Amino acid sequence: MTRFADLSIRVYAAALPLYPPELRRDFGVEMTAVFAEDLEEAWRSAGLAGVIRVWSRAGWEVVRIALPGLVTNPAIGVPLLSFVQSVGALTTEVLLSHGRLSAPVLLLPGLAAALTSIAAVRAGKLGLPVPLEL
Amino acid sequence: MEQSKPPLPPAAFLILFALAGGDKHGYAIMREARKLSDGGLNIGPATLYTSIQRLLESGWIEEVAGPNGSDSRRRYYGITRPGDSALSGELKRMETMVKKSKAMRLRSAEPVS
Repeated sequence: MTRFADLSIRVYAAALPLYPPELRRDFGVEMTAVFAEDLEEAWRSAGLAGVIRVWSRAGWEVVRIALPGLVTNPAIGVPLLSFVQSVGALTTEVLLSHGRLSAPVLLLPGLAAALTSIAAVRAGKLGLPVPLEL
Repeated sequence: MEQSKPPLPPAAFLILFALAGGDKHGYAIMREARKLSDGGLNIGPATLYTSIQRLLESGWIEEVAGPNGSDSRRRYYGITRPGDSALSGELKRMETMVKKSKAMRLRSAEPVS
């Protein structure tokens, strides 16, 4: 477990830049320490299932807390959305060339990309803070 | 008529609840909060420290000195008087809701046997 735990802690610490800068600056070290303790305790009490639980919780927190901050930050959000759109377009093209897509489905990636772009631009223009849940 | 305050977010409530029992460091708060919620609220490090950050800004909790001989790398947190009164207010609000639901004879208010 020690090697896996070390690797896990390193991966968690490496993902910290995804979180809002103030949170990372003030609590990054503590967050990593708490993650490490949680991982150790989970391994002791529930083995692999516990470790998976700790990691899934950490992953969910990235989606819930880190990603909204990234998307509404224009410096990161715009390139990120462009990347997502490119991947969507490429996937659509590949599926189309293999005859696996029907016409209405073609509209969905574009619609989703347009909606997320509008949401990000609106949040950026209005200077809204990222809604972090307490 | 007095306007009631909005309910506390679950993580903030549980952190205040955990600290009402005494000063604690981050991991101890997380463990206690999970215990208090019977595993219902799965707080991870990011949720914990996002809430701690907000509670510190609100002045509801504060950083305190750890007990003698404690690990100097750990930061300890304690509840403040305004935090204590916010917690009491929330508990009172919950109590009122339970009383109301009992008065309305809602099935969900009946204790599970």
